[in-house]
Amino acid sequence: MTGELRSLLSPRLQPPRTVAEWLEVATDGLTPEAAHRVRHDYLNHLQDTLAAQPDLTHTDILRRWGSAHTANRELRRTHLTVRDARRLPPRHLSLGGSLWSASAPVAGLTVAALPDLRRGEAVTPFLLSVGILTALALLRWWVLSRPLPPTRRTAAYWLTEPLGGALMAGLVAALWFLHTGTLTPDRLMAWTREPASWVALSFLSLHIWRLSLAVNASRKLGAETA
Amino acid sequence: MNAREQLRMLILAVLDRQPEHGYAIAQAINTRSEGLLRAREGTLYPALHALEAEGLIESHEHEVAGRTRREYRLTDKGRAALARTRRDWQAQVGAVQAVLGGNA
Repeated sequence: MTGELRSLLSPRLQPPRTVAEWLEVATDGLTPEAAHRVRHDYLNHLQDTLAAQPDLTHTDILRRWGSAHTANRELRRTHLTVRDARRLPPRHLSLGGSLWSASAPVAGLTVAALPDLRRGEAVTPFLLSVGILTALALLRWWVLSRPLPPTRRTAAYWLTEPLGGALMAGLVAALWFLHTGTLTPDRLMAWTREPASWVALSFLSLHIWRLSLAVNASRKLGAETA
Repeated sequence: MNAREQLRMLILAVLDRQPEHGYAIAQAINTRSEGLLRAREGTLYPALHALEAEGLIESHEHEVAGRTRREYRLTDKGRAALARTRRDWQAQVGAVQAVLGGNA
């Protein structure tokens, strides 16, 4: 590919011509803290190189440094990227936010139990279930407010976040229907062959995939803050 | 052992002698190999940062002539990893030598 064609496609595909451009490509996508660390190391290296060999030009130096894109790819394996940082749980979790996360399972339970509640039946188990869900939300807030290692905190956050809560709501509702006899095991098995169950399973798969990405990001964070 | 693993082994071997900063590590690899091996800066620092993230080396910043320098040193975990890698490397070299035959 010629240089002109490459520049037409994307300016980023052009090889860096200055140290500043090289560093810009090498640190692309990294968080400001990680980018600062990388720049600091390379600029120190540059000063050492020029002190030992003052005749070297920037072209010589960049040839020695090699591909900035390769450096960026390697640095992204170790350092936190901006995208990684978005996957991490917030540093502070409010009590209100935690209680809100319990609203989806409570809503699911209420919808499921509404016919029984209208008849004045099963009020005690319903209130008990709402209490358990609220207690779980408070427990989530308490666990996530404690100083935990980044990986554990991320796993705890993602396993108990609203999407997980919505899936749990479905599970609670299904158990409720099974308990009251509205739903039989045979009908539940039949449901798993319907498209709605595939959507639920897709959501669950997506949630697990996002969890693995978040745990990987938290490992990088743990290594950077160690 | 691929190029990345070789570079990691060379870095650990250099730091096994004494703590060094990045430029000195690159120079040591070049000098000790009599110019045959060169650690490209584009891969040297990502490798250093990865080794640090894995706990095999650690780094500290300190002031030298008005400049903040980062010095890397081997950890106990890194020393153990280097010993393992050395054994693996010697086994590989021995195996290749056995196939090639002749005097080393």
